[in-house]
Amino acid sequence: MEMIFNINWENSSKTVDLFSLRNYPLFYDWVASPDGEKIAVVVENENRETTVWVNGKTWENVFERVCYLQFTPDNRLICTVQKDGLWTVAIDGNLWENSFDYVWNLQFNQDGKVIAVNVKVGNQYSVCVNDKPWQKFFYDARDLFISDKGNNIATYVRLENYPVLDILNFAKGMWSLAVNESAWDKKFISVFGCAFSPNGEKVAAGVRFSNREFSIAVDGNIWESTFLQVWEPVFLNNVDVLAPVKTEIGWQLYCNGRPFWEYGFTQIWNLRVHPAKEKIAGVIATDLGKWTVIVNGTPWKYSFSDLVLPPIFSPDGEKVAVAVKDKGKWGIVVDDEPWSLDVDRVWDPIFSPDGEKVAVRAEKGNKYFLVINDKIHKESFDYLWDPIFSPDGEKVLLRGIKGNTYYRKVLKIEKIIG
Amino acid sequence: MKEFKREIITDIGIDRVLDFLDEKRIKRAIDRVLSKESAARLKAFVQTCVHCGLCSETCHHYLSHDGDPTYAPAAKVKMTIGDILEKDGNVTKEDIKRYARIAFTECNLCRRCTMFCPFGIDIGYLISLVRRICGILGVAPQFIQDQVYSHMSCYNMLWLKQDEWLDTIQWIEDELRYEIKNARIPIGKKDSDILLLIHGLEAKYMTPLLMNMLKIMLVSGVDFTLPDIDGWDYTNKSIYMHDFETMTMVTKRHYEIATKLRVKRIVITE
Ligand code: SF4
Ligand code: SF4
Repeated sequence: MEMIFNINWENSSKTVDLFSLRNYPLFYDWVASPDGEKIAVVVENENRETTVWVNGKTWENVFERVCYLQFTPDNRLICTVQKDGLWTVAIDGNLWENSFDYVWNLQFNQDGKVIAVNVKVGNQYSVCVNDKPWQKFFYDARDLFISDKGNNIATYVRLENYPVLDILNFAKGMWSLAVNESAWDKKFISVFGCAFSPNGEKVAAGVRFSNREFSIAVDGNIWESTFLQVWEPVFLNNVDVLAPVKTEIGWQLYCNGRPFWEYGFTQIWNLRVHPAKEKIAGVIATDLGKWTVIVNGTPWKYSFSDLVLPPIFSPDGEKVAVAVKDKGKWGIVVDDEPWSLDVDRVWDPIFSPDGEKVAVRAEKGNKYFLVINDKIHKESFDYLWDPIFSPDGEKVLLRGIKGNTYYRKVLKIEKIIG
Repeated sequence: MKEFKREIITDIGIDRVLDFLDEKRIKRAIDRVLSKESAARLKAFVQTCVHCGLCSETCHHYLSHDGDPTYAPAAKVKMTIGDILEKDGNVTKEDIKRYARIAFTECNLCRRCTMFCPFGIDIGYLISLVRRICGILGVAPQFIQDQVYSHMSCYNMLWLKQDEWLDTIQWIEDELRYEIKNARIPIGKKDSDILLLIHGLEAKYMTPLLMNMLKIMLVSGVDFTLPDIDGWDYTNKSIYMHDFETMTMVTKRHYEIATKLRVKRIVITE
């Protein structure tokens, strides 16, 4: 869950005029700050000079390119930028001291204090964290993972540089996981589904061996058994690791290498855990095209034909909400009760702090709406960001664009749900 | 039956890999596929064939080898799955080499023969089981294996690195600006209508093709995006080895990107 700081819940509305953007031949990648106070966008002039526009003002620096524009939870505006051919990270317009031949996968941890990117120098690959590059480089680095607390950072790395077509060597494995510069001492055919423990001190991933065998590695130590296949692991607490594995009875949930739920499913994946309550939710298929949610071993009674997205726990862990797609139609289901909502597209549900309310943004007829507890708010927008609940759950912060205006609004929820 | 005579072709993906195998491992792979994974229809299909030969004339491999009966669909099944069943899975490395040659190079699983078989015997399915057995053993043509290894770790067929993908698209955007004013190719844009996935070759060797495709997308004015992470290549070479594990990983990745970006539909090139 993202942490939100210093939101003004009293001042109910604010607007930013977007009309002046017409002076730029090109603008793209809109982002709104979590507190709703700022709207930003990448702008380019006729000479391809690129910079960032925030609430009507541009950064002083101009660049060749601006990518990955986003706000951190503490409302800082970050992006990757290319200047004089080299790439670095910009935070509120200030550049890191280090620059690289390329940077990508810009990410931050839960409170936004740790910012990291994958970097390339020559033909070498690595990671840079808060402007400190790792000393160790690799033949390749793919994807970046930051623990919630930001204390540990991982990336998949290639430890051998066998040439294309060298299949006899590929079979020995050349991929590993590097955590804070040091790679695990084992090499695999592939490593995937990296997950940190809640305190960030341990890390697990799915690993693949030759002969189409798979297992789970935790801090580089492999579970005793191998499986026909595995999906992404997840930590149940700071020690125990769960993972869906394929055995002869189907897809099963295992913990630390042993069966956790005895029965098998046609499919199980997208595990989510409420660590404080050690509750587990996941997505299962009970048959082909019959998808549903399972919570602590009990499947929901409703099933959905197309998609069930990763389940979301309420902050107290007592409820579970999920976005689904059934026979081509998007919907929201909370604790096994489908909403009656009739829209073209929905995003992920968001719980109020007390878990009593669920908010979601939805699209219908190319207009965006706020929906709370299955009730659509009457006001439509050309675009909406995800809503944010106030700590007391009485209000919701709405950030959206209508015509040439950006709106920040604080709405009383009782006015929407009546 | 006419003798099974073939010109010698060497491929390290088959010849060299066999050096590392023993008969126990071969038997284990056969048991996994034929006893644990295959449907009951396997034995029914093999037992139902009356060798009427009606399927022969429908197979392009048979026709292009002047009616050599060893290329007939029923014969290819008899020489592979039929042989394995007859030997109860106790087959030699030489047998595996022969099966691999037939399954990977003499039947492309088109299923045309099935349309003409009075019993609807699914020859393509039976030969695909042979590909899976060989694939589990790592016995498959080198080029296929190379691309599948790439899919396993990079989700694209040509070992493209993540920065190479992003850099290629940015370079194409620069090039397109000579033709389209202010051309902008979105990468990883949330909430677009369309997620555009492309063929791996288009990103590495056939960029003019990709450029044309992107030109069409831009000029048509649709709201689209390319992925900004692995999973942009819609090819899935693992299907040729019936490597369901890699197949599901790659396909799952496409849907994960589509739902993360919450697009309305996935569009693929070619
Ligand atoms: S499925 Fe195989 S045997 Fe049948 S027609 Fe096609 S190539 Fe020939
Ligand atoms: S047509 Fe059917 S029954 Fe006849 S030989 Fe071919 S596979 Fe066998």
